[in-house]
Amino acid sequence: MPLHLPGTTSEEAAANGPIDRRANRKRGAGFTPAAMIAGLMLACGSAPAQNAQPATPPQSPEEVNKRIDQLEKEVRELRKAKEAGQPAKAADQAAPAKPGAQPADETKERLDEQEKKVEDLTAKLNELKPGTEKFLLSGFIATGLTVPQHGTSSFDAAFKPVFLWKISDSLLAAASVEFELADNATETNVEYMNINWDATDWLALRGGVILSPLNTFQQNLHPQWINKLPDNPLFAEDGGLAPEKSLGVEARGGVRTEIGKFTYSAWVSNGPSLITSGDGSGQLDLTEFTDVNNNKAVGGRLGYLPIPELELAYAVQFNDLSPSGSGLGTVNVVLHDVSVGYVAEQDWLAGRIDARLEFIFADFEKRIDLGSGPFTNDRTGGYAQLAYRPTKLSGILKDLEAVLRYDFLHQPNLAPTPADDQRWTIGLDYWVNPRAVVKIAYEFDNLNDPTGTGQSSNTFLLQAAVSF
Amino acid sequence: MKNTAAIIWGGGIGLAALAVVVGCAGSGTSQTDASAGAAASPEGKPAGVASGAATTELSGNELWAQNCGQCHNSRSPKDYSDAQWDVAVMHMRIQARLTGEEERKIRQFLQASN
Repeated sequence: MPLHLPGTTSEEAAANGPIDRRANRKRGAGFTPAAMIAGLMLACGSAPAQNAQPATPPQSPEEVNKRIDQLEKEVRELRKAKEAGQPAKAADQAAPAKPGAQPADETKERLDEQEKKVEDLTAKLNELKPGTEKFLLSGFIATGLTVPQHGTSSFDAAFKPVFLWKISDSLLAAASVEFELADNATETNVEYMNINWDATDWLALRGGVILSPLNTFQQNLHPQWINKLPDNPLFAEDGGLAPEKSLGVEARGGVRTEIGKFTYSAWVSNGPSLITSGDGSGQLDLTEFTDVNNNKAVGGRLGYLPIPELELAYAVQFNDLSPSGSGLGTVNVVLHDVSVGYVAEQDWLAGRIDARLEFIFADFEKRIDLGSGPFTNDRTGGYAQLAYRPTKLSGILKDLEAVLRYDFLHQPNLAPTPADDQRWTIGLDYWVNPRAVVKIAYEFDNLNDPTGTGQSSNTFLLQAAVSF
Repeated sequence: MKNTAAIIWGGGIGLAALAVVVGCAGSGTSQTDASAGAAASPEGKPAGVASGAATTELSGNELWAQNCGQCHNSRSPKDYSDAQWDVAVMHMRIQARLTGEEERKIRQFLQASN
């Protein structure tokens, strides 16, 4: 009876490329004990071995357990077969020596030897039993130096582990915690913690604290080991417009069509609130963890990739920002977000170009009055960034990436904190390896503050980040 | 500020148009030989990938390069074990809005190449 090692039929090997052949070799190697045991059974010529099922890769821990049970059963049968043969052999030994007695002894020794091997292999297989849960610890560490033209220079550091548990083929639990040093103390925040369910090939549902799907930068590009500059665009900083995370539920997914790929998200969350007093009066409070009213934020995002290198996306979120009992009444705002991303590696560029553009607009339904008279609180922010890395050159040049960014944040002139800010930033990154980067940047700041309390401050930035 | 916004929008539209032209022109100029399998660059990224093909026509290698590289440097397949890739790819399916088929092909490629 031919013995088929897992996934190594000649038809499959012929049909698959080298990748698959390699995979087959790998899978075969991964189940060597099972294959060896089956081989040993055949070598013994025993009945149980003859009846052994062709080895196929176990697909689950339950199947591994079944294999072990089967092997144990075969060992028991071998024992029985051996014991059944003992009297006859004893009789043979008592009788005068005949031709053939020596081969019977050798067979018995071989049987004992094979039985011991099977027992050893069964024990080893038991040690390799996988659990039903799969866990991955990932994340990154970043440290940096900020030297402002006006103000105090300071080092900073952050540690953001990511914990992932695959509960089943469709269920995943994910959490990330931020540890940052601030004001001589360690500040701890939840970046996200959510339960994810892959409902279909094109739909995933998740709930909990999620990275906000509204803004592409906040959702995909803000981690320090991904962000090509040491700091975030103004709209993603405190006092900005783009929430980093939301507490709520989301449906999301992607669909491939003949004209490209579409991606989508739809969500309901607590939503941001309005800061009604203090320095940030009029700004959005983006923490979102405790809702301030019963009107939830509702949003959606549609992305289109006509070619894999280019994504065009539009997202919108409807909110009521007013805290209950604030006396402001309903303060509805619509957040619009438009983003374009183009990342491509081309021979004629001798490297990779990474271009990003994102614009976010907070459109307030009506004027509000926070004590200094009614004003229109519409706010805008955005950034455009171009990065180039000559990946096709040799030496250290291929590990360098030049970055140029323009970002701005506009706040209404009549708001309590009316400063307009815009910056140009130039930077150079050195990629030690794909997971480690050292960034150096200089920011040219142009702050227009009608109250005269703020002033422009160019800044030198240095940062190193490593993901794990 | 309105002028700035107009510049940004104009630039964005121009960038998108340029990207479409460049992308379409560039697609196919640096096709990755899918049979190269784990022949990833030191960055853990293949030299180039086909553009615009339906998922069913794309290998796990190509889908991996197309999707992961859009946000960050791709990790080397050797960074993780099979079990770890199982979890990581499931997480990234949700994060990057991959289809189920894309997830399966990428996972298969990574587990075969580590």
